[in-house]
Amino acid sequence: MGKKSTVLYVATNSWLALPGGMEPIVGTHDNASVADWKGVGTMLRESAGQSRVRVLLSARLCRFGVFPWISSVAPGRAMRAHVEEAFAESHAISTQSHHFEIDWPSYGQPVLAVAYPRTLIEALRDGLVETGHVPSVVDSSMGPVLRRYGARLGPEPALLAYAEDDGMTAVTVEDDRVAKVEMLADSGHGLDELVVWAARKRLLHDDGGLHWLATADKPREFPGGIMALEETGEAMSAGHALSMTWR
Amino acid sequence: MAMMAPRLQWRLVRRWHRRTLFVSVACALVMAGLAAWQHRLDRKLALRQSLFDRRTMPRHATRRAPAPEPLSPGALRELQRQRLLLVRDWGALSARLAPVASEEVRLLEIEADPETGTLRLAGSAASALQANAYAERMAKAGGMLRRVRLLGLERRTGGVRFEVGAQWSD
Repeated sequence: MGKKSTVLYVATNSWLALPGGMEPIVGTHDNASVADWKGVGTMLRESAGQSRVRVLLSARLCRFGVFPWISSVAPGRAMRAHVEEAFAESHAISTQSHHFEIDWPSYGQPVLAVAYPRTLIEALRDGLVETGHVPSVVDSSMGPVLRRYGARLGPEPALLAYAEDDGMTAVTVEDDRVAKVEMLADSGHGLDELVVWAARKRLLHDDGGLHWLATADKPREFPGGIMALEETGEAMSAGHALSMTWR
Repeated sequence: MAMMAPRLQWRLVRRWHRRTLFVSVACALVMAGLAAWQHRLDRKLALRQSLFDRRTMPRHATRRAPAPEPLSPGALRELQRQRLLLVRDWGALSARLAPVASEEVRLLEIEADPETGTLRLAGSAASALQANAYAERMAKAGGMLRRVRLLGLERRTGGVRFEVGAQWSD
């Protein structure tokens, strides 16, 4: 008999496990990379048994890049090297610290890639494996959200923002592809202050192109419309709502 | 609308993607087909090779046999000598030449020319009489030895050295 599937949502200072058909289990930590994942695994095993765990990371824990297409780096290996170089320049990260996944583009399209923190994933994997779970896949919150709600955005350039347990994530979509991924803290400063940031986005998009996915209440400063979640159940947090989008 | 569904998941457990599985199965089938085809071609090739070898081998053998080089007169003479050496009845000759138990004679040297049949023996005896008696016995025996002659006698310390000549024909 196959193992049950559990979504484990990990944010900067909290985690939430959502075993299939059960109430969520939540916890906090100071540093996700050195958190007691074995304890989490044990807790999960005691309440829901051993399971196949899908890890969902908050966008803030990952790094995103949309890099220009370069025809001379079309072969896969060259493209990967190009992405690694671009991540090193833009985020000062390397394959030593992060695992890069590329959303292989069509010819001539920009290259979308995400960098997953190795230390965190390895700590998570070790803790879960030691307690009998099978960590199967790691995704960022953007993945399930776009797979589930991206089709609603329409053909025009749009921005889809949603709350997470450690801030706010905004995905800009153009020509049916991700053009930019931004993270905002609840209390940003300067250009990152939500009011300023939202005003800037309003210049780039019509109000019809700004969408707030209701993983939490829409901030008053955000000018766009609300996109309701398909789930009818009450979510106890934004992370819980995001976990539910990953069916 | 086909909105992007970014495939950015880090799969920690290898799982067969349906397309990968299809491609793998297709590749396996193609490879199996190629292997079968190659096997068939190999068998055909082996069969043709054996037929080819069978047809060409006698010709090759004839063609490849080195033409015998004509022997020089000296070589022919040597060949004849060797042949005669081989075909002589050395056993019978040795029995005839061996001294009988009563004779105090020892053979020291035998030279035989198989082509001409000339035989020369050297030996030692206690006295000239015994050497003479040995030569006489050989001459009386006849048969394969003719014209037996005591060619020389030489006194040495403790006896005599003698030499006997004969014509060997068998």
